[in-house]
Amino acid sequence: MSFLQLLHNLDINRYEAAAVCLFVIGLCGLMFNRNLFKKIISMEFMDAAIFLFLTCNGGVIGHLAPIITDPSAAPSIEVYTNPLPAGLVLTGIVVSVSFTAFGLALTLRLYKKYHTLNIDEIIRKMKQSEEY
Amino acid sequence: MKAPKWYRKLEQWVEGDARDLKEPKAHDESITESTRKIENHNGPSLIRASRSELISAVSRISAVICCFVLLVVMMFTVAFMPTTSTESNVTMNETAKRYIEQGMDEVGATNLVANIILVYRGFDTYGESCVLFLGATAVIMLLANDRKNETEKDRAAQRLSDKLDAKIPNQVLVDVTKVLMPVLLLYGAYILCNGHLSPGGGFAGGSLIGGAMILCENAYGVNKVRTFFGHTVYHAVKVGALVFYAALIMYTIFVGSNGLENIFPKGTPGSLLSAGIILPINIAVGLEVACTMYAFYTYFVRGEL
Repeated sequence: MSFLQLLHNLDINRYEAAAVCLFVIGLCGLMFNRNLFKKIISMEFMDAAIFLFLTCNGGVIGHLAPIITDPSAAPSIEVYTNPLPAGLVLTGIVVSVSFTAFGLALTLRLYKKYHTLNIDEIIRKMKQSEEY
Repeated sequence: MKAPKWYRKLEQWVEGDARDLKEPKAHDESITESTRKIENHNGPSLIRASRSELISAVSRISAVICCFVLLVVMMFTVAFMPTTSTESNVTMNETAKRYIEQGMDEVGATNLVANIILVYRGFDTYGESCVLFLGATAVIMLLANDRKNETEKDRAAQRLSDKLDAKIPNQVLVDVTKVLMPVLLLYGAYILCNGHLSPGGGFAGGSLIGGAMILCENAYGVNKVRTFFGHTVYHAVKVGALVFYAALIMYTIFVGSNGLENIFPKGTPGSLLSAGIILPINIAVGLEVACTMYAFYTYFVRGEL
């Protein structure tokens, strides 16, 4: 496959490409930030990337949302989009909210004890209080 | 020859971690003292410092390379993936066909997503509600005011801020709340009860009701909210909703697997009282989500309901 063909394919799957970029941005933020709060925000970026990926994989441009407006007519797969990814994303969003709240609560407790959000400082102070 | 600016910046970034460790802040005497002790204990400080510097630099550079490689690999994967968002979408397979073409007849709701998350995958959504419950429990455990978590100083500051809030009410917020609060509650209830007919459902409606309660807490103070939503009500509603949900799901699984007749009628698709267990489950989920949202907010702000 030539390079141009590759770029053309990326243009067709551009929503997925955007999701991949968002995911890697979140991963970089998770690895290179020392601040715990920023780490949690990066995790949210990764969540958003996964949701975008799932949603755009389930959709078909031109089809209707999976809510039947006319119950008397038999619903057909030619008219509506796939409802399964929407359900999965809904589940994921709720779990991500719970996770964020839990992480922020842990961060708040750490801040109250060590008066810093920097993960290195926290580990250093923790080791000090353990050993000496 | 002087190194270019970007190179020095890069060098600083690569070595940043080790430099921090090597030079503790001047005002923190205790840290300097104990760090020196550790260094003496573990051997010559020069060798240790250079080794930790090297490890830090190598790990930082390799992390950047890993990220870049991951990006390239995933981009290649996306480029070779079958085209989505078009008629040839591979996810439109027999699963989606079954859900779309027979979902309404089998369950009775016109919102196919509600069909899937509350009936076909109802057990999964029950686990999700349990995750929400566990999240709220963990937040309460970590942030509740107990003797480890709160000093006399914190309590005095909280009391002072409450007194100031009561003395000088925020007039704009109070007026806006008077208009918005009924609308928000009504709209939340509408979304909650129409989850099987239109977009929305328990999670969206519950979030709206929780938001309305947070607005009320901000405008009128926490004592006003405590008159109708205290500790007892919170625990009763939250646990009651979860148990009710569990009972409904267990009943549906039992009835469905044994081929018995369901006492919840399917009704005519499109009417408000239809779709069997979806409406009661949506109400239970909505109540639980509203409780959780308000609990998250109030525990982060003041550490108690």
